[in-house]
This record gives sequence, C-alpha cells and structure tokens, in this order.
Amino acid sequence: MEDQGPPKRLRLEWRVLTVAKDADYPDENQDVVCVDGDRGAAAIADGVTSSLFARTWAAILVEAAVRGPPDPEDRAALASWLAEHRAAWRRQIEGARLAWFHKAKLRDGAFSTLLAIWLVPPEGPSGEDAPAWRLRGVSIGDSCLFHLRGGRLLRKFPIQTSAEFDHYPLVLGSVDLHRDEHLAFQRLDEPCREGDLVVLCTDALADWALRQEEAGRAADWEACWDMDPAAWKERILALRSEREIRRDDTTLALLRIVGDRGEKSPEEAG
Amino acid sequence: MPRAPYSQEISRQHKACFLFLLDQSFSMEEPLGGSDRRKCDELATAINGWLQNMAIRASGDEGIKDWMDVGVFGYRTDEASNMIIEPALLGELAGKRLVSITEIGNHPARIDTRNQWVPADEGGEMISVPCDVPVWVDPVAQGGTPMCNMLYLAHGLLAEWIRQHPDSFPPIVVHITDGESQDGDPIPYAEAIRKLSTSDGQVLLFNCHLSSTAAAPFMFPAKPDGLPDRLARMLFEMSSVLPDRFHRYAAEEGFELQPGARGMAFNANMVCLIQFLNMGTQAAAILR
Repeated sequence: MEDQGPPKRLRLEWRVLTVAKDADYPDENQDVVCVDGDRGAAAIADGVTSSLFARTWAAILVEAAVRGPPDPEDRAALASWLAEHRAAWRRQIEGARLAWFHKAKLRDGAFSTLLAIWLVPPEGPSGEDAPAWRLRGVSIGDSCLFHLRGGRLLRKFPIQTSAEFDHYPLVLGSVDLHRDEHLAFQRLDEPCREGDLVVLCTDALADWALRQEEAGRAADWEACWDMDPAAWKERILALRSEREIRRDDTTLALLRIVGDRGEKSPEEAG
Repeated sequence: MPRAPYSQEISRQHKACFLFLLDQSFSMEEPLGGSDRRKCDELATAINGWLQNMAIRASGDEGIKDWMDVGVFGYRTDEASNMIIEPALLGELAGKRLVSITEIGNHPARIDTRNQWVPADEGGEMISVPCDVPVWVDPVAQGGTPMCNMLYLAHGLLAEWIRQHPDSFPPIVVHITDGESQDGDPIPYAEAIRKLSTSDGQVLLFNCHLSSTAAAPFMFPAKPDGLPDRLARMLFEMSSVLPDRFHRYAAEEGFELQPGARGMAFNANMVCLIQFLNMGTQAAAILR
C-alpha cells in the first residue's frame, strides 16, 4: 500500500460465505448478513430455526441495524425501533396461507440474534496525530465478532470462550411478548484502523473458532478471504461429518477496513 | 475424535424416532390422581399435546421438516381376553406403525376448537381465545395389560428402524402404564429393547406409571431402595439410566437428580406426565 498519509475515511470491503444447516436446502438458511461498505456498517443475524418466518425477521433486523442500529441505552428509542420493525415483519407475513401449526407458532413470532457494527470517524484534529477511528457495535445473542490486525486476534465480542455458548441465547422477538426489559445488549467500542479484518459469524462457526483457539490452533480467517464458496462449503461439511462443528446454519462475513484518500466521501459529493 | 454417545444431531439425514406405548387396559377408566378426569383421557390429552408441540417445533416457513418418525401404540385385551396391540393413531394415519412428523402435522384425525388462555397483545393480561387443537388419538380403556407382547412387538419395530437408520440418535421409547403386566415378566423384554443400538448409543426406554391416588410421585429415581412397591421396582429395572444430556436437562427443569437417575416416573399425575414426556424428548430434540 502506497503511504499517502492517513485515510480521509474508512469503509468496508467484504465477503460472505454461508452453508445452511441442511446443505441441500439453502432456502432454509436463517442466517442473514447485510453490509453497507461505503457507510462502514454491517450486521449479522441468526434466525432461530424452530421459530416461524425467522429469516424474514433476521433480514429485517440486519437491514434496519445497518441503516441505524438500535440504541440500547435509550429504552424508549429501543422500544420504538423494535415496534417499527415488528410491524414490518407482520406486514410481510400477512396474506401467507397458514396451516394449523403455523397459526399456533405465529403467536410467539420469530426470534433472532443480532450483531451490528459500524465505523465511527475520530472526533478532533485530522492528520498524523488524529485519534483513531472507532469500531462500535451492539449485540444480542451469540453471534460473534473477531477483530484481527495483521493476522493477530485483537479482541472477541461478545463471547470470549466456547463454554459461554448456551442452547438458549438471548434473542430479539418479532412479537412483543412483554419481555423486552430482559434484553441486555452487549456494547463494543474499540479503536480500529485501515487494514484490520473484522470477522462476523454465527454461533456454530464461532464456537468452533473459539475451541480451536483454546486448543492453540487459532482459525486462519485471512485465508478464508480468497476461499471459493464451494471449497468453503466442503470444508464446513467435512467439519460437520467429523463432529468438529455443530450442524447448524453456518455463516462467515469477512469485513476488511479499507481507507480512501483524497476521494470525496458520498456526503461531500452531495 | 471419538464420539460421545447420544450426541448425534437430528436432521433429515439422521432422523430421530419416538415410540409411545400406551396402556389401554380397563383400569385406565379410573381418575388420574389429583384430577377428575380418567387416566385414559389425560393420557390422550398429553399425547395429542406432545404430537402438536413436536409438529409445531418441526415446522418451518414451508411446512413441517421430516426430522423424526413417531409411533403411537396402544395395548389391551378384548372381552375374550384376546390381545389387541395396534397403532393408536386415528384418521388418515390409522393402522400406520411409524409415521413421519410431517405426516403427523399434515394429517390430524380432526381439529377441535377449545378456548385457551394466551397473553393479550397489549398489557400482558391473559385472555381466553378459541384455539385449534389437533387430535390424533382418542382415549381407550378396555380389558387387560399384555405388556410383554407390546414390548416384544416394539423390539421388532425398532430393530427394523435401526437397520434403516444405523447412525441416527437412538430411538426413544416412552411407555405409560398404570399397572402390572398380565402376560409375564416384562423385564427381559425391556432389556432386549435397551440392548438395541445405533452407532450413537443404545435405545432409551423410559417408563411412566400413572397413579389413581394423590400419593407423592417418584421422578427419575437412582436406586430402587426407596420405591414403594414391587411394581415400582419392576419399572425401575425396565428403565434406562438417563444419559448426561437428559440428566442435565432434567436438572435444568428443577429436578434433583442423583447420579444414575433413571428415566422413570411412579405415581405420576398430569403435571408429572407432561414433564416426563417433555424431558424424554426435549433433551434429544434441540432443534435450534
């Protein structure tokens, strides 16, 4: 990379690799990723397979979070954010032909985890001594983030060890079951810089990666960037058959933080 | 890496199998302990509820995923003391020995409507609303208790299923009765069932005794010593030791289990019966 001073702004380049729990039925994959590279925002959600229209709910959540993530500190704003997107979910399933088992399940709605991140420019002077950009995030549930620099793991979020995985993680529901006061979002706010790799993944892959790390064999996320989707799928299927990874929807989003120099930002370009 | 037993995940490629064996003898006419309804009525309600919940759990946006086979058998005798051992499912599924959960969900014998209490949309208050209640089995109470013959038939059925699904999570058999076998000692037949195995472990046989009295229930005992009578000790001998996964699940549900706890309930009331059915199946079928 030619050194031309600090970048004017940071954005994301990305790759997404995914394999459904039942690889022969990709339409049943309930994991969803959304990235807006120019705005430096991304989100991953893991719809709970046993709930109904969970992919629809997960997709609504990631798109909403990339447009504007929920603010867990402001409970009124969070309630409003959830109400708006729950209404969107209801609108999407209205008119669907429902069997008795669908009707019974719809009362509880769909459930999904959510992990959203966004890049925040530094406040204060620009130039060589400018403070660092920030990598901020919110999470509910067991979708995970790994932040790497030069192939070295800097931090994990929100889960730190494989022992923390639970069969019943916290999830966001598409129906208000009057339990929102129990939603405890985890928050991330750390420095980041150009060249960093941010890995988002759903729980099966995160669990595998943490167990690898705990066994002294850290996952080589950088190598995944150039991996062909078919080769990646074969890798996951092999890990499943060896019982190294849980049979679950398995999704990896690789986000490379890249810098723009000189070019006008979309805002500046008007 | 050596595989832990009872760790196979349930999928279309590795289906599960749940087999229910229901005592339909005349004594099931008596009220269940702590209830004003007959044991056979409560049992039918519990089994219909289990089938309903499992079909709902296996359902996705496009229908019900074919993740498990289910068999429901009843056993009794007629007026001439002839054995009647037959599938208990009604309607389009009548006469079928094992059916997929997809068929179960798509073919209830009928759908009744009952009022159920559910949370209101706003405010968290409970309101009564009419709900669809699918029915697959009706209560039956007649004649004697040919338990050994029931277990013998189950053995053949399971052996065949295992031949077709050698790497699946092993079948789970839930046997519900209110009395003693009238066609011999069932323990060797139970042992034969428990000796069947897939590559993932031995068949699990869980036994639940329904009480006519309000006597204290015994759930998941680890030793036969404190059990009240010979029937209880016999069911203990017939029952599988709970594998770790089931042991953990039962503990999470609030049961105080000792090491070696068995899949057995004695003097069960309706609450115990439903807890027992849930424990036997939920622990295996984590369908996230």
